[in-house]
Amino acid sequence: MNELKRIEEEIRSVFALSSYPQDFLSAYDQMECLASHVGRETFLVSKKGSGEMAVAKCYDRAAFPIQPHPELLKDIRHPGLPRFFEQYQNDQILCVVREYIEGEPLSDYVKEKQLTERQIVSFAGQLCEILHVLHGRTPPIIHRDIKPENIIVKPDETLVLIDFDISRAYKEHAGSDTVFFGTKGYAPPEQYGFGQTDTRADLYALGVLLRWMVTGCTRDNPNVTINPGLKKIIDRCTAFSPDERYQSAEEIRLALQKTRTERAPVSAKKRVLVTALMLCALLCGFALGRLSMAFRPAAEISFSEPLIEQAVRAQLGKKSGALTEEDLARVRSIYIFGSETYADPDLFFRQSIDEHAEGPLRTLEDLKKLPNLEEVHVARQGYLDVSALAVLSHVYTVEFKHCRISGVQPIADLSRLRHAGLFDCGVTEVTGLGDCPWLESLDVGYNNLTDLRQVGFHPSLRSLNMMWLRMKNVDEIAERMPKLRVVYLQHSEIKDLSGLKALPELERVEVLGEQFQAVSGLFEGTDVEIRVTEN
Amino acid sequence: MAEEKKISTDELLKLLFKERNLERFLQRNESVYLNTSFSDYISSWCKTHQEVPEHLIRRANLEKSFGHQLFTGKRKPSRDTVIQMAFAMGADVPQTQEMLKIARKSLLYPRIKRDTVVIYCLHNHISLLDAEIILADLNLPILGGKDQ
Repeated sequence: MNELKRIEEEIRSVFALSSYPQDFLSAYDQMECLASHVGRETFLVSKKGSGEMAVAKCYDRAAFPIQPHPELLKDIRHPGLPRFFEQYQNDQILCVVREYIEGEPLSDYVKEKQLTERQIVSFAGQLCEILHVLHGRTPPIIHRDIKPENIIVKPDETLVLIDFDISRAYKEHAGSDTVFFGTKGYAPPEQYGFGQTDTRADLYALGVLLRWMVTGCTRDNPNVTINPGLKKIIDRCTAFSPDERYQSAEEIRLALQKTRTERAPVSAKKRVLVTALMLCALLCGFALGRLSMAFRPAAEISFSEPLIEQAVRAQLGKKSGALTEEDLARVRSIYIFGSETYADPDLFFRQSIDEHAEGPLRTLEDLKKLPNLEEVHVARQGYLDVSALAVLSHVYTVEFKHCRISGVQPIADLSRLRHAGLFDCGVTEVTGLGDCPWLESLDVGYNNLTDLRQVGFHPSLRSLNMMWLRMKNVDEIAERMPKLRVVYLQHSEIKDLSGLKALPELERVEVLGEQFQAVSGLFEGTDVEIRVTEN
Repeated sequence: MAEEKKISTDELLKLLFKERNLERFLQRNESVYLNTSFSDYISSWCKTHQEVPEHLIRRANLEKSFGHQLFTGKRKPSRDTVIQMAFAMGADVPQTQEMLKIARKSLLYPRIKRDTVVIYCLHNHISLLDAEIILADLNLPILGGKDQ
């Protein structure tokens, strides 16, 4: 115990010399250092007594060359901006305490989740609204450091713009900025000293950020094809001369709104056909005297497949009552097994074929009504027309089990596809899926695939399920799927597995107990784990 | 490591106060940080040290089912949970920094009093319980007091 007291004394004496303002240390506990740069540190702090979390930015006056302006945000209340709490200072350090925003920086957020185009447009739109508020102040507030690290994505996917270290109020008669501050890549030319930065500097950075969200690069990348509407906005935001850029955040927001209402490119032929059909429908409406119906504010949505409606309602927790377009926009995934639907994915995955009779689903056309659908899980159906999938641009997981699907091509058309499950789907080849640049896991178990050539080339694939497959060998697997890490082989009757040894990144092979001996012999002396699992 | 143990705690504190460049910790094994998940890290630690997760969870003073969810990857740890795990593993300061980096949490920062207590205790292999006593005596928030 005495030893502990000695340590406490030692720590007390060291911290008695702390350079932070004493009143700051009396009011808050420093919990962690979120960032540290020359002359400034950002701390997560906890208010003594209440435990309320906040963020404190501490500036070393001698080492940080800019005079911070915490007062700029004092009177602004906006959900997209952190609230200013208080400031503490002594001769050496200024500490500014602001609201703590729960969430993660956009720079980290994109590492785990791939942004959809809808999200990108929504995020950019939210930033426009925030900038509209800042730029609308008198004098306007210029942030001057808009970048992914300074944007927090909250759990509800709303954004907050943080870090006003180098922001400043626009001075009408000032000359050029004498010192460069900001982040290279995001800062406009005038921030390097070509002129005084005004609000259009933020609009330039917003354009760069938009390009980064779409392409992953801050510079123009001609190898990436992007939505022409967004490209036009990016190009105009990042024009060299401020005069050629959009002149306000509101202008950009309106331009973004326009891209949101635009649909995916449709061929000219189709466009004519659709327009003609719409005209016909309208004329028929007139003829039948039912025009008022056509203009009803919230048209009732009907499904041709009752099972899909049931799956949608399960997701929404809405057993009865009319479904609105807003409802449908909230549906991200559907789970159907036989004639049952599930809201809970775990429940779906626990089902087995023995417990379910064949379901009545025949087509997936109704899924087109779900604009934000990301995951499709359907099992135990008879012949199933899956052609509607091809246009569901947000879908990244498709899982069919114990179905007879009409073909693989509509699945291969999903540009964001990451996971494809085709267990017992009667497929005889899946080579088309090789065109999906993000495909990470593929389940082709229990299909009539007797040669790897029927599986094809999958450069990005990490996990392959080959359960119940009958093949002579897997000799070319390393050339066809060089990044494979996990292979499932339960019940498979592959005579020669030696090809697996050539996989450079292989980490795990899953087998049945009876297969263990044969497979483990192949990997003796390597780090590859042979795991025995029954399913 | 043997080198570090020769430094007295007093010297360590002085050194740590001078060291503001956390990047040094990150440069080492950057690829490991990027490709390992926290659940993989603690699972493989148990395997290497022939420990069962239950023991580690108990030593880290974590609730049992929460602890198991950390091993399966179903739950992500808070920063305090990572530190508690580090104590349970008998980790030293650099290993704890690595664990924090893998879990994508802020590294221990010696200019923070609370972190200094943690650094001091890890460096001297003082138990989690004693570390909590020191924190409480210094009127600092104890580990795992708020989250899990």
